[in-house]
Amino acid sequence: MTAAPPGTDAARALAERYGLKALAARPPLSEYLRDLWTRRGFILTLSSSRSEARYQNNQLGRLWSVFNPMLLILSYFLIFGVLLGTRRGVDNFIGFLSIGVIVFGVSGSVISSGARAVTGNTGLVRALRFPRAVLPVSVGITEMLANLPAFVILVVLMLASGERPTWAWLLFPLALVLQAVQIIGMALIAARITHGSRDVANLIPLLLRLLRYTSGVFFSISHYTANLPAAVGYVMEYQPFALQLTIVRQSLLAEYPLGLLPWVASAAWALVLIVGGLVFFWRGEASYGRG
Amino acid sequence: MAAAERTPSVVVSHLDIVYRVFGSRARTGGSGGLRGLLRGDGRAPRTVHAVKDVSFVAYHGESIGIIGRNGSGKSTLLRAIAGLIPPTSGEVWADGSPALLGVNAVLEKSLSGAKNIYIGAQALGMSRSQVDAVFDEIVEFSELGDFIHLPMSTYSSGMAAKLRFAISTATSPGVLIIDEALATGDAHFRARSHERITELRGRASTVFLVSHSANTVRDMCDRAIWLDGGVLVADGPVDEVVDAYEAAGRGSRWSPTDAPEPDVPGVERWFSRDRYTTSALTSSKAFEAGTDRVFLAAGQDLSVALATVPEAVRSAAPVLLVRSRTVPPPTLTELRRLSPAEIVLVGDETAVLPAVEQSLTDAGFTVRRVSGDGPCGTVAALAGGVPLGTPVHLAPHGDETAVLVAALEAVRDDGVVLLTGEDGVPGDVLDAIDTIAPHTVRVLGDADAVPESVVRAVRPLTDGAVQRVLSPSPAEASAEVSATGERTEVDVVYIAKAIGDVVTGAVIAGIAGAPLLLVERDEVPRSVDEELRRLRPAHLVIFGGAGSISPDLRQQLADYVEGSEDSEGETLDGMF
Repeated sequence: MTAAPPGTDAARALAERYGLKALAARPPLSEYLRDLWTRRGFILTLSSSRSEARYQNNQLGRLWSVFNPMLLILSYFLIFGVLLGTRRGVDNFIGFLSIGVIVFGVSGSVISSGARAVTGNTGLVRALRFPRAVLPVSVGITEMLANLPAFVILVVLMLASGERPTWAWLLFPLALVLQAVQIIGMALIAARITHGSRDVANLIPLLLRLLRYTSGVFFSISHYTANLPAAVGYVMEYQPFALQLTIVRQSLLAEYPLGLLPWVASAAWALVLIVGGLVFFWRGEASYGRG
Repeated sequence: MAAAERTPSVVVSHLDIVYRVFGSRARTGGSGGLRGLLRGDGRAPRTVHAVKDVSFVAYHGESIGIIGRNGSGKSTLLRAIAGLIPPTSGEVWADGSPALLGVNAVLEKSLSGAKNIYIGAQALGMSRSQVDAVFDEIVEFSELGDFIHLPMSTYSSGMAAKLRFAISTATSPGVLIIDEALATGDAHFRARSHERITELRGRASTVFLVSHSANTVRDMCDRAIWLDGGVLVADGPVDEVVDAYEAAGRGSRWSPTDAPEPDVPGVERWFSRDRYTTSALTSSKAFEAGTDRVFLAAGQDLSVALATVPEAVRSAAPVLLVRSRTVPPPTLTELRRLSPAEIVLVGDETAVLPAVEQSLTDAGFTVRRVSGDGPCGTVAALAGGVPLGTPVHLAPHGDETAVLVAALEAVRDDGVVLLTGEDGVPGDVLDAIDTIAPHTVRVLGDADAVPESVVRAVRPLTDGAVQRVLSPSPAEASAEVSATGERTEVDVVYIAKAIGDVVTGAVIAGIAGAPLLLVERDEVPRSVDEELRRLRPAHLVIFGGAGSISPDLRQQLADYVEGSEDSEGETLDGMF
């Protein structure tokens, strides 16, 4: 009925002559990152709206973002502090435990919802075209925003449990930024893996549980690794989740003096994870949305 | 338009798309079981070759309609043009970032329309300040008024479609892709969206429109592309292509229902090629072999079959359909499987000929015929044994929708359905009402359908009230019946459009105590939408093929299924 469509080469020539872009092709990394940066407003809108929406169906609303961590801390205190007595080697156990529960809680939920960032948002992915890295990144930011009240609670608990403000407290926000960067990197990695094989999503809760008990949330790792080979203790103390807790404790708890090594290691992890995460996620960009 | 210097906006070259679909969970029928689990039934990725070697060039200012029957790859092609689905092979180039406006373009349902305007427009590449500038215009165009501040989960599908249209067109995209969305919304909104599209084309945008409706395509497009089975059949001026498409539709064996359709998890479809087969299939999915009784009624007169439904629910027996002269093979197969102690044949000897009764007896079944004078008398005879005071629902014979609503109501209040004829209520129906002495009589239909004289004749026979029920639409009526159940978080909700598909289904829904809701082909009416939200079903079963309930709507229905969206964050349980 109309002229036959051009052949492959002619089509490419035509597209190039008029400056048309190949849509499905994965853009070069630099362009991808630039595109992601120009969507920062979108990421913020998405994250803030989602964190606001979190408790909107509950009658007590946002108060839950305060109650939830308090109740968790209380239940862990009863189990570990009172029943099991894991407080050995820790002076301010309430302070120690609160930091563990809240800081690890954020990492845990970023990773479990980050894993579903692409597969759980098919509506958005199939409707609108944008760099898909927006989704896992926004999961991380959503969680940080939603937990702002919990971070404030943490500071209040510090004061209540007898800590007194020091200059080191100013490092607390820096510790949270390092944590955020690390877990966003991990969310990017988890999102692509889960998109490739949805079955992996079932292993994530298990992995998180394992990490919860080996990262020093409830008890001081060094206290328990004393009898283990040095290498094992090293790995357990310098894995990112343990470090996240260590540096927050160093900034807020008097019994943990500041040390340079954990902060440097944490910054190194942040760099490795965010760069690795972005590159790993970007390499799968052309496949998201199919299936 | 733009004929002087035709500049291309989209180039599609030898495009192939193969995608994986995940099978649906088999949660009913018990066919899965451990064996199914071990085999991984319905879990293994299945692939669909949706678009095959499609090439074309689209130009600025063009409006292109994509036509083809269900499952022909239209939507997939458009998603590929929008850059949402990566090609398996071949290439797509486009000018800028095409905006897709699709029925399934769900934004964030838990958030307000206003928040969604920011999310949608920013995702399409606008900055926050640019959205600020067009925000009022979007709200005004969407006609949502104060609803804009309510969560999108409270919107009807029409309202949501309007908002999506307003957002997508506000960004003045170089390429705008519209997927069936114009079918949603009222005539007024359609006219305004038509205007908006013309305006966009004037600004050298290219508009793609997917529609089942040849008229919409003729109306809005100057060029058409016809796809069939993923292959480009024709591409040219709209009238030529649409004429050819319509001619093919008339001339050949294809029907809009025979195309494959991707599985939608949580939303099953129970359907076969005709009402007889659908009825047998539905029965086979829900009834165990060895029932006490099976009701058989004529498939040509669904009024009688539907009026049998409440009685069948009481007996926990299926209703199957037969032709007036023969027992269709699927029905016979299902009868053999059920091997009932008794077959109750509902219909006089003109509705179901003696030959049918004979062939059933020959096949070894025990057959009891219930019949009276015509359809009305037959149904009255069926109501013979009900207890005194049973509620009566009176519907006009021939108005199948009214009879279905009457049957749904009767299932709910354990009543009976009786039929009125064209000349009022036959004597034997009045006798039946007199014998029952119902506490209430509900008359389904206005004074044209059931004359006032009927109401007057019935009134002395009841010790209660005679109520006339004027239901604005079947969908609304089904939602009302369901709402009186006050159930929520139900296991299953049945969905239907065409009455022919629903006879056996209504019995199953009745026995299961599950709601049966009626919808439009492409839309969930407002009242049903509200009811579905309230019910929060674990899964849905559709009675009917793609011709009566479109694949897009099926996709949309998945949103109502509880648990289809990932729960947020971890629960306390997950903390340990």
